[in-house]
Amino acid sequence: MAARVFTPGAPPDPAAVERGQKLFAPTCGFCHAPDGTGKSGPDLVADAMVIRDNGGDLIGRVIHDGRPGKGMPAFADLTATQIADISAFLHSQIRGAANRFAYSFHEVVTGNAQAGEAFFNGTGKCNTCHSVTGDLAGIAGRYQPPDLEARLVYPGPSFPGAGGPPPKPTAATVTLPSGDTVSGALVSRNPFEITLKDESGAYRTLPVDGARIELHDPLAAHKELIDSITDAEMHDLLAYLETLK
Amino acid sequence: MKLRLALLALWFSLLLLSALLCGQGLDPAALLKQPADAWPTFNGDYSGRRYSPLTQIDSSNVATMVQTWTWRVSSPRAAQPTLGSAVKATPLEVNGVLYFSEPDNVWAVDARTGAELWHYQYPPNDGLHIGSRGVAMYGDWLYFETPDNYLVSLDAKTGKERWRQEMADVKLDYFSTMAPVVVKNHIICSVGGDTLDNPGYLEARDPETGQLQWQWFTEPRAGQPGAETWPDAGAMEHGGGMPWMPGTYDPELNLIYWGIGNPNPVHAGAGRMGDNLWTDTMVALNPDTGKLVWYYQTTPHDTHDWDSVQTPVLFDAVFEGKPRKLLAQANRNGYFFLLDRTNGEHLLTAPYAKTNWSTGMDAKGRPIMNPAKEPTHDGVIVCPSSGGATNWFSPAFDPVSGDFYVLASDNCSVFYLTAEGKGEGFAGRDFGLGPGLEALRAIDFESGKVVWSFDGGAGGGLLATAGQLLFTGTEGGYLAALDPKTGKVLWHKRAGRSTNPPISYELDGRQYVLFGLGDSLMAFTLPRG
Repeated sequence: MAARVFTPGAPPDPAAVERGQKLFAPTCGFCHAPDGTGKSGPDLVADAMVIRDNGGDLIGRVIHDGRPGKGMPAFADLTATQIADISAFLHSQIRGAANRFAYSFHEVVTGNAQAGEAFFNGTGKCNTCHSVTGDLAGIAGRYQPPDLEARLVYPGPSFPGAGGPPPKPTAATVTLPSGDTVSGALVSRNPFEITLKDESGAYRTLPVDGARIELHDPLAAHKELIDSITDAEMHDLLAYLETLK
Repeated sequence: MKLRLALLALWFSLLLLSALLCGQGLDPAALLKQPADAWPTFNGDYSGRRYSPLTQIDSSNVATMVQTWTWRVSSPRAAQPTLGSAVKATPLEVNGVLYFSEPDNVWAVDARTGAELWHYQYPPNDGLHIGSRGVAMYGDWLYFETPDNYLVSLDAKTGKERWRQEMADVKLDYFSTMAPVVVKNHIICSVGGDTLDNPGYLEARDPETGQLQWQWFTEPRAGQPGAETWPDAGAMEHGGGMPWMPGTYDPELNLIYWGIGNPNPVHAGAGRMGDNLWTDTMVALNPDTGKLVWYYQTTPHDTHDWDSVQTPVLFDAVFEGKPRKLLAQANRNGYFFLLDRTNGEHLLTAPYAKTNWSTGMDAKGRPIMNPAKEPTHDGVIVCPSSGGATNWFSPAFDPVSGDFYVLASDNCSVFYLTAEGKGEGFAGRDFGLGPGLEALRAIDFESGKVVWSFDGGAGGGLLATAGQLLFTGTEGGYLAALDPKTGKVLWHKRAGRSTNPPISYELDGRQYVLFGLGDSLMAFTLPRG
């Protein structure tokens, strides 16, 4: 992914951000909330003047003079460096809001592990193909909770660049109009042709027109699970899999 | 005397020259009736049907089509981190010249040969380079939007820049991608960008100067009608709603129709309880004043990023025994909507793709959000995903078959809320559950039923023609022509992945069908002779 996908401008200096945060929380946090998202005072993370500010060139005067008409006191003692640090902190908050691919997740694991185990061995029929001491041993150590949760429903990469092994290939048998059959691992399929990798490792591309195609998708049960699993069952199953460290 | 004659001759030659120049341009009055042989606007005409009246290529001869020319990007593009380096734009075809864009780039190409006539490059800039939907034309001038939110006007003959006007501040993370729309003497343009909680708006600008004529915000102001659908002024002022796809126009009713994008913060609804007008809403505005005439909201209180910007397709037909002026939209939320476009009266809502988020329809025919399907910290499975049941890919409507065609997708995601306190920006994420199913679907406008589905239909959009053909891309990098009544394939060719909606035009008695394929344009005709 390109370095600059969302949010223009260079990231602020981390040391300035840290200093700014320490200064912001006790000085401004009472009205603007310690994270800058606003309380009795406005949300500074979504504020156009703050977003446009560069090192305090716009917010400096407001901080220094206050906004007497709107109840904001003056902070005349803050130095230009301190104001620049506050600006750096707010800009790091703004970048944090804008860069959704760097968001952190909270309280993902909320389910009941015991109920999850019952689902695993019961309704979910997960134990038909999986074993918690075999293929799933230590699974919770290999994925972050939201990734594991999406993968327990359907174990493909949940977004481009996501970790984890690719799903097992679908086994395909194509019977051509001539009666000849070709079997192998499904590589790709489109409205006009199907490509298999046969036992010898050779790629075979065949027209689908008039052909009979049998597919054995090892993930067929997971495709059904997308429609059948409830959100509560998914949460419980995640809680159970999270015990497999 | 001699001098006077010479001046007279000069005056006459200037007159002749200016007549010729006018002949190269595009009279906006010409857009009021459907052009038979050209493609002078984003959707070909104002209706958004993407239905070409050309018939030379038809179901009996389409299989003999040959590739006539290919244009490929040869000039260096801006050195930008870019997601948008592909021809996603719908080219315009006017007087034998094609005009199209990518972010920061505009080209003019000979529509008969594919020869490049000129290339304009906009300076490097900080805007998000996600895509450019194309250019608009008025007289001898072109208009396009830049990633850093300028409306730029070019001389169509030379590609030289005439002026640029700023529409929004790139520092606030707005970025602009829309193909502007010319309506009379208004250049309708818009802004995009939902990474920070900015308000969206549509604008009209003067074709000669680029000066603002009107601006319409997609959220009301405190005290105005619609404000009751937001908890407070702050939520409204930061409510998003980017109108990032071109709208359509009914000259008789003098109304423009635009689909509005999702509300912000995108996945966090708690701070903006209510329906959040006019996000995810179909709106009808007066193009001369920018005043709202009617609206119909397709996703009240959206928390799944389902921009409702899909083309409002206009056609007149009999619905339940009564002749109607209709507006149809296949929405990103998975539902097909049919409205009366004179007043926004709801006529029909029907699913055309996999959905699991609604508990039913309210009295106005709007799908009711199941509150249990709003994003949570621990995740909920929702279909469709944030990418939607469709997206920017242009739909088509064939007045002969009466079917509405859409590139649809059955897909689901686990949606998470990530914000702990107040949501900002997206405030959440969704994780896709498998690749889903891509399909070209035909929807009977009167019943809303899917009458056929062509699995594997995919690409940048659709084109219907009076030759009884429906053009599309497919998975596996094919281009195809289908029978619009049955979905049967009549022609296909492996050429590369379709990245834009195909168009058709006629020059010197030859019909062309033109596709965008990443870094290329490819033109097809019947063989000569």
